[in-house]
Amino acid sequence: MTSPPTTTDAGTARSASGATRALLRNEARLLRREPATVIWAVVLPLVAATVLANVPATRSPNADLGGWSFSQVYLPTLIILTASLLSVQALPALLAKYREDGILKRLRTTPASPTNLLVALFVLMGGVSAAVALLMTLIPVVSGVPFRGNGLAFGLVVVLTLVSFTALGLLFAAVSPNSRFATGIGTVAFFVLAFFAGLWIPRSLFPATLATVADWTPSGAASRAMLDSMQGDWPAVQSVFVLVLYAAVCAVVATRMFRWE
Amino acid sequence: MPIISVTNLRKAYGENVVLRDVSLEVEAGEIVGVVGPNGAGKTTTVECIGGLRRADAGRIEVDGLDPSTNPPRLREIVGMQLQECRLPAKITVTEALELYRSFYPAPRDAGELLERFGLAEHRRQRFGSLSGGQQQRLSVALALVGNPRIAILDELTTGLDPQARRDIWAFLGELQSDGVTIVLVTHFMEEAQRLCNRVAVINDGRVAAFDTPDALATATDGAQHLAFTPSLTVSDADVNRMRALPGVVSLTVTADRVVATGHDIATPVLMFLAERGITPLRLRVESPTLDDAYLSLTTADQDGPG
Repeated sequence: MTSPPTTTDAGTARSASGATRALLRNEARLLRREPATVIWAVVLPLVAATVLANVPATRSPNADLGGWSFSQVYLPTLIILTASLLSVQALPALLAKYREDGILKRLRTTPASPTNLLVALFVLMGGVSAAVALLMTLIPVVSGVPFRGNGLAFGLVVVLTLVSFTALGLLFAAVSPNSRFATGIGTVAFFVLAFFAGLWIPRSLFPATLATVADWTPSGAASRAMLDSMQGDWPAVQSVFVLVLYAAVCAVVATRMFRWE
Repeated sequence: MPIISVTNLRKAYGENVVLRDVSLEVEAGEIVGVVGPNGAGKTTTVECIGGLRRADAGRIEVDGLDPSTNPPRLREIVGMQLQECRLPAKITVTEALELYRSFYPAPRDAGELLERFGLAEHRRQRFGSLSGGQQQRLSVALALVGNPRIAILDELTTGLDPQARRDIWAFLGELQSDGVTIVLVTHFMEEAQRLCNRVAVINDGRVAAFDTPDALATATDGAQHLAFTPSLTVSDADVNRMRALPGVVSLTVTADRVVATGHDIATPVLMFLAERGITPLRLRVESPTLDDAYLSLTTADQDGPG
């Protein structure tokens, strides 16, 4: 898509990364001004993780959960909750609104490109999700429940989950004719993803058929892979395959269909 | 050498042919107005010049660059104000200006723009809480923040009160003395007449006329209207003599007003009155305006296609 920078483009390439940084700062500032998003995606998951890690009944292993504690089984769920709120619900609604308001088109008239804005939003939403995920992983450790598992695998799965969800959000932004549609499709997707991630029923309590279906959804595959790595294993090939598949298919379709105006 | 040259531009959206054949040349430092009815192709023309749309046929050069290839340099030298572009509701005036400043290698001073566009006391206000006129002024300021050599402004004073409009006109005049070339799409003939060195009238996807506002106004066979209240009663014989004066097309006498219409009639009528010792009181002379020219150019072929 982009031609390799030549000597005459060097100055422009430099200012393009500057533009992305400026847009990132600006979008971060605007996100802070959306209290609903901040509370649901950042504050509540962190509070929930803190409570679960400190209440004796939820921090100790539970026979009904196959020896897991509630604090443990909800960690992947809460990480997925934040990621889906930011990347699958907020991101497409915002992009569709920016397109509707002519902001993406307006950026095309400047040395910055709307691509810089897309990158800034991916980094912002992914970065906030990653930071919240890290904090939620560390909260039980601080509360005296050490993380025993394959930390590297867990970290990689979280990153792969964020990439996959961002691609899904971009796809929603690409297919939405307007911001209302994007908000609607994002909200429905959020509930579906949260369900398969075990928000209402912990994953370990899913009946067998439901678990099979869940394993083919991005959030089901993500939570399964995170739980596997929390047990010290590497995630199942299927989980990784599902996440990569969603990421690739959504990204390819989205980039083909995305319109600036 | 013209800084913008557009040759035989053609553009269709599906079946709908918007530009049939548009050719324009804009000299560096000129202010050129683009006027025409809704749907005539004004916005499409300037969006092609700005590289936002690719024409189906024809050639555009902007300072030697081809906008359809999206050259990075074009983005630095052209500032565009688009119709109906809204900023995020929660961005403040200063934040928006600083954000857009950061895109350009040599931007204008944000404080100066805030002052010039009457936004200084609203600098901390969020876009969503600004009035329509303030939003419009911010959008013009953002188009100029990069210190462009060419400014393309699409309906820049729509929704502004007369004072704000005049302030912006004055600022554009100063930009012109700094050598900035300005292309402005407008619905206001007064704006075109006051501001523009030349005006392109676009109608039905073609350039119907492209000349100075005065030349356009006089070229279109516009009539001059003369009205006055005579200090003495005008006799029927004198009325007939006035009707026979060169250029006079019609002349009517009501209770106390005499109204004459024709071409270049002011001098012969006034000289005749002087000979008769009649003083024309409350005299009004109306010359053909750009408005007349516009109407005659754009209503000529209403029954044409499209």
